[in-house]
Amino acid sequence: MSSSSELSGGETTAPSGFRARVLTMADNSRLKGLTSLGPIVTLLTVFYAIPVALLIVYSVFVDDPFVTAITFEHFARFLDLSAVISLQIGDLPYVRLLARSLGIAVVVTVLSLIIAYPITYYLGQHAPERWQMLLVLLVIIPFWTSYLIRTYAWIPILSRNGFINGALGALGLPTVPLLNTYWGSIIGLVYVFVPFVILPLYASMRSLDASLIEAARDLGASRSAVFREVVFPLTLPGALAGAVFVFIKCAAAYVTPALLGGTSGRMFAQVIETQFGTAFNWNFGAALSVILVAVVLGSLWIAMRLGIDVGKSRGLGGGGL
Amino acid sequence: MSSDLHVDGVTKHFGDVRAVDDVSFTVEEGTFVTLLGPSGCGKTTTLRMIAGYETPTTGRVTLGDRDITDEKPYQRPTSMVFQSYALFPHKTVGENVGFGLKMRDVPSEERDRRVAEILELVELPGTEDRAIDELSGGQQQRIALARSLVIEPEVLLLDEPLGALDLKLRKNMQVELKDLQEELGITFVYVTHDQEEALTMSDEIVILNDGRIEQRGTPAEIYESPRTRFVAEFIGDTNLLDGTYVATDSGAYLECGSVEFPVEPNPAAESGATLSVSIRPEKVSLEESAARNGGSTETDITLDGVVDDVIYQGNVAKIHVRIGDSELISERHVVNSTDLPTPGSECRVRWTKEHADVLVE
Ligand SMILES: Nc1ncnc2c1ncn2[C@@H]1O[C@H](COP(=O)(O)OP(=O)(O)O)[C@@H](O)[C@H]1O
Ligand SMILES: [Mg+2]
Repeated sequence: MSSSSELSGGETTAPSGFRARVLTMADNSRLKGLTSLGPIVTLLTVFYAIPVALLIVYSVFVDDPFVTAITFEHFARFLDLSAVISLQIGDLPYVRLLARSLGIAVVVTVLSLIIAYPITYYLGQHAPERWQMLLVLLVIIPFWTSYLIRTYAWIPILSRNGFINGALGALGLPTVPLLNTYWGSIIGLVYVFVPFVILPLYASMRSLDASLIEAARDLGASRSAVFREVVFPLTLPGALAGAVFVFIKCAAAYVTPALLGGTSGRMFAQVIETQFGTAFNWNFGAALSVILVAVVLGSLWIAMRLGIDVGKSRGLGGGGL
Repeated sequence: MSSDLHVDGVTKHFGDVRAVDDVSFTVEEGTFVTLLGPSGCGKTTTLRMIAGYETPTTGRVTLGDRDITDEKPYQRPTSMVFQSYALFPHKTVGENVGFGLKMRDVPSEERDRRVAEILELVELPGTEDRAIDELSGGQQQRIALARSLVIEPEVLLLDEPLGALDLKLRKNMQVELKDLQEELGITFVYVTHDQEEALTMSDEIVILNDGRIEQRGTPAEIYESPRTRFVAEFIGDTNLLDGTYVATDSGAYLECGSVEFPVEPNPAAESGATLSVSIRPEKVSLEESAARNGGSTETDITLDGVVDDVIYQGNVAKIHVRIGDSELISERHVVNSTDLPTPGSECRVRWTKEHADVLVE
């Protein structure tokens, strides 16, 4: 605002020379459309469309460099319940592993929301400005170190003789296996992804007019009714922006379950990696990838159809996506 | 049992800030009382303590015999209309208005009936299914009012509810609100910084300045007999004459440079004090000829002067008169603009003693 008024106030003469030509060009709306879209289209094509297209192509080719034929055998293998991944806990068909990965993604998303809601509610509505700054810093600082290092740091916390079990033992409570379990994956993923829910939700909470909460209280709403009737519906866009991101990222999580989940916490992306890296069956790996993407998009679509308007989340901290 | 609202010696600190300082007043049941004062004087804080959003640092708030100082907002028979309206943007008009009833578990049939009734009352019948953002500012204001009224509060608290409306709509709503209050017989505590609004609507005005009460009274009392300089300047236009106040057994007068004139004695003012006297411009009459017939009497004050300036404003004119070192403004209705005096001409101003109010700081 201020800079544009400075410009119009300070310069009464029409711009000339190169700047004038640039401005005239920018005024031409068709050109403007092309020049601004061009780089983006190129970027998207090179970095996203081509790899995805390659993946799809791989997924329907026979796994034999000397034969060029289209096949759906890789997809059939995914659906075949007798084709199993052998784990220490027993054999698991591919479909079930995918279902379990999606289940973990849902649990992590829900836990992240449960953790983020009270924190952001307090900070966005009640805390003094300095505390708010502090929180945003606390949320952002971990990003300055690598995801891998932060995840390794959880090993001594979760291990059999680690922090948590040490504390439980000191209190005379039975210890619980955490590292290399299903819960290891979940704890690690929640730790990594809570900030991605906190940031957009905090933005929503801050923009929530406090007098709406006061009005609801005044009209007789209990604390839970205030949350149900006012806070939740009005911060849903922020929560969804975070939740969609976390769900997508978790469904394809690889590093965290590899380090903390062991075999019982194994997730779908690890099996895909095995196909590319160990089994050298790129075609089957590609098919599994395509399936994962399709299923994640499908779940989001169903969630939308069930009445959750993901579209609302656009523009509200949706930058995380 | 009467349920007059008593605010009794209430003080509120926010850290080092004393937002409200030993404020006491009573609002009689069924009356319209306005808290009036400039921005930051503590009006909202006082209202929020009546509503229950803030707890007084010291002092009590009682309603009839019931001490409500420590009750939660929803436990009190009060309801608040917010300046921003605070309507729930994701709910329809009907859901907004019915919210308080839903929270009180009123069955949905009765709820619908009462919502329809109250929408009728605020002259927006049949708007239940409209979205909030489809409504104009004035309509939103009415819905906010309806949402508070539907739960049948004993005291309705309104914090600058017309502040966001344009002037014409505001004038209409002032009259409507006052009519509504009289019709329903509910106690209204109204907050505004607009003195004209306060004069138009209130049964009684409480003037706040810097967290303290400056003066309380009916609109006429406040306007006609301001007791402090702040009140005289804040409400309407006035002439302030500075001088030395002298009180004797036979009466009081003000020495004002080369002139002196009798004033009503003010027990709050000390003899010999330097202070101001306020005379409303419309109480000052002006005679154009300086013919010297009769000086001041005990009750009628006349002083000679020279017309300095004449400001014509259509229906009224303001005539600035120089008297010694001071300047006085005389305001009069204009019937013929040709009757106005010309600047530079000699004249004589006149007012009655009861219209000159001795002000304390
Ligand atoms: N929650 C608060 N925390 C700190 N200071 C406050 C708070 N609310 C009000 N104040 C201060 O108290 C004084 C009175 O405020 P307020 O009651 O809002 O005045 P008004 O409504 O008359 O404009 C102001 O100086 C304001 O800054
Ligand atoms: Mg205020």
